[in-house]
Amino acid sequence: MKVPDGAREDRIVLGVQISIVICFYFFTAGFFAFLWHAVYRSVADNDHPVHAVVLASVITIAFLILASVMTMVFSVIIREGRKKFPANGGLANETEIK
Amino acid sequence: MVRWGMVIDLDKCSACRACVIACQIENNIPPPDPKEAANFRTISWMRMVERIEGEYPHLKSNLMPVPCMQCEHPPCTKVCPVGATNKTKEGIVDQIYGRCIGCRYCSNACPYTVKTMNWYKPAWPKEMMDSLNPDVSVRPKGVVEKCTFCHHRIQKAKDRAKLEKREMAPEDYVPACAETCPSQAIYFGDLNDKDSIVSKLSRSPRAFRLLEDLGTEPNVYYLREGA
Amino acid sequence: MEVVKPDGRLAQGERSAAAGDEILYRPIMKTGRGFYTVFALLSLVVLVAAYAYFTQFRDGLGVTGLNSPVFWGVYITNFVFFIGVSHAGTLISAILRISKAEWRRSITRSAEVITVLVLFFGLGNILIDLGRIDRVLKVIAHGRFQSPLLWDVVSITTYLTASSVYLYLPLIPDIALLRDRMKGGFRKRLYQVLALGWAGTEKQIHYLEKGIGIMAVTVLPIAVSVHTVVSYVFSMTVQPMWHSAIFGPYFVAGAIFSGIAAIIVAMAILRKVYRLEDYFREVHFNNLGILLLVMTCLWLYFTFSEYLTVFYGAKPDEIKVFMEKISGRYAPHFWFMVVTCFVIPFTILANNRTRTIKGTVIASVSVNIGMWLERFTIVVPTLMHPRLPYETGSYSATWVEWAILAGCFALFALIYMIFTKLFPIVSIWEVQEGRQKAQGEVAERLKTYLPA
Repeated sequence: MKVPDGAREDRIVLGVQISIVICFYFFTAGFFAFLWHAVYRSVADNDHPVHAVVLASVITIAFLILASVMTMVFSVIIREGRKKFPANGGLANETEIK
Repeated sequence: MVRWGMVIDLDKCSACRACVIACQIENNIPPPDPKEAANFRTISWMRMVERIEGEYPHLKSNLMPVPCMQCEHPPCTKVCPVGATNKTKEGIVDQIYGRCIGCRYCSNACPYTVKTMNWYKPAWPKEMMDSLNPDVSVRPKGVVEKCTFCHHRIQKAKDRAKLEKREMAPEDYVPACAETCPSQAIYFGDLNDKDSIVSKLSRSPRAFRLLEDLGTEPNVYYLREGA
Repeated sequence: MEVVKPDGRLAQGERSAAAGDEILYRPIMKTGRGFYTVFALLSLVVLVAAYAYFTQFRDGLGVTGLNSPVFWGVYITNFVFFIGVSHAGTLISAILRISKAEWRRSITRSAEVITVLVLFFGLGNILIDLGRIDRVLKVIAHGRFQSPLLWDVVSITTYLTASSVYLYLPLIPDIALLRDRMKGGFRKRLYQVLALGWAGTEKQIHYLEKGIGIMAVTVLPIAVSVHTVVSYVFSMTVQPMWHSAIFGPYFVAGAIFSGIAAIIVAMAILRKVYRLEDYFREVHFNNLGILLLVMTCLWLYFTFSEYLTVFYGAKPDEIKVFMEKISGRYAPHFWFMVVTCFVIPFTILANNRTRTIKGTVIASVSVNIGMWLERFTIVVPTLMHPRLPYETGSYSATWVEWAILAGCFALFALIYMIFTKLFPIVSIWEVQEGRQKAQGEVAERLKTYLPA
């Protein structure tokens, strides 16, 4: 009876882990929306668009780097952790460090 | 395009401060509480600025009425994070109370110190409540305000002109200070109209503007005293 | 220079190494009465500050000492000060990681936590300073990027995100260690989620280190930009003694300066309270003390440069502000700042014999006080002297402003304390990695420096 429950728990934990990254993407997307909306506003009102364009470009690059790092780290660590579990004899999120 | 401007003749100005009072009544500026006034919190859109040179008894004193300069290149509009202060097409630096978040960056950026802040909710004695001007919004607490050349009067002038089935003439729109000045030291009009009195006076050899070296291009000219 | 003390401490340290750094787990496993007492006292201070803010929210900014022309005062000083302290984590973690300085291993975590937490207080003070905090969403909907305040919003958000990621990544292996220790309950679930299934495989370690390396390089320009744009809020106006090209570098140097001082104080407190003498050793305080010494000299250089330029140029508006600081109403603040930012730290830190743990802590507390005063003497004297002949302003902060300042420190300490109860304040895996792998790596590196 323990194994099915454990597997379900494992899936919940995995779900929360993935949703952390999804939340990060949502936050990044929201921030991009704010930045590029401000660029659009400044171009439409002819209100010194150069500031908005320069800043939005630089910050977009910075956030793309952050999002890439988060994706890379999360995907590799979670995937590797799940691979180990048959060898460990246990569940993915209960792996012990060798 | 119209460019509203003001010329103040310092020879005619007697520093009676009628303009200051007129402005306060017209624009629903609350009378200052004595304690708040002692803490430099009096709101006054038109200020009488005194410059004293020399040592007593050989003093030279200049008194100048200073409204908002309505600069062509306003330092205040540059720094507003939400666009609550902005320059209209007719040359007036506008202040949108509904947009203002009260950060006071514009107040700090203005080199003429013409911006004031509502530190508390504006309050009038009960007896004065009937004398509030219905054409001007009462500001909430926490927003910045300043002289707007009484531009609420433009709408009134346009409405009156429409009623009388004519175009609005430049003389129809005049701010409270210019209207009230007993020595008629304040002239107001369209600086872009080369025939208007303000345009002619702004090109007078007596004309000067405050802090010209900052490049703000104020639309308020002064005529030097003692020609 | 590590001094071997003839007492039991080193022996205890050896024991803790053998016992697998047990002492680092102790704050997480057990909580003593001292913790609850301090927690209660700090909560009291926070409640007073909350009440102070409530009076301001209800009545308006009039409850502060702000007026015309001094529109900005203690709150903006706090904002600049806290954002400055946030450079703590960046310097220690990122720069020392990139330069492969091995002594960083036990101190990176406590520094990174300071950064992430203190940014919220910087942001908080700006929100507190707004006349209409209920309209703050207008900044998002109607933001104008011509305004340096928007540069601030964007830069600080980016820095907050980057430093949170930079705090979390090296935390993963430590969370896995905690996950393996816990028997069950809410905390085990929390650690299971956050550990991402960490098993210490080669691939995981490789990619984690790669991620940390990218973050270390990315977070540096972001951090420099943060305090630079904070300085631009002042230098982009034309006000006397604000409109100065030196503000960008001056503020960044000042930020790193107060950041190092903040870490030293935090480390000293943690060392005492959690008995981490073996992890925060003399050598750490000594090295940070030397960095602090370099920064105090740099601070003096920038300050001297700024004031000499103003004095020599003798522009009338600037001289008025200058004289206010040197010999006017703010002279006590200015000279006290010089003493606490340079005289005291320099005399303590320049001398080997006084650069002990106690000495560096005294110097750091002095620096933090001095740096707060530096921000204050930048903000207020300029505003007191508007260009037009006008009554010179004056400014006296009220109880509301001081209460909120105290509340910020108290809340910061509170949240920091909670962090130490959930996660190890010393990076356990990095210390272990240092013990096992670092010596070999360092020996290899040394060989490459010297001729064959």
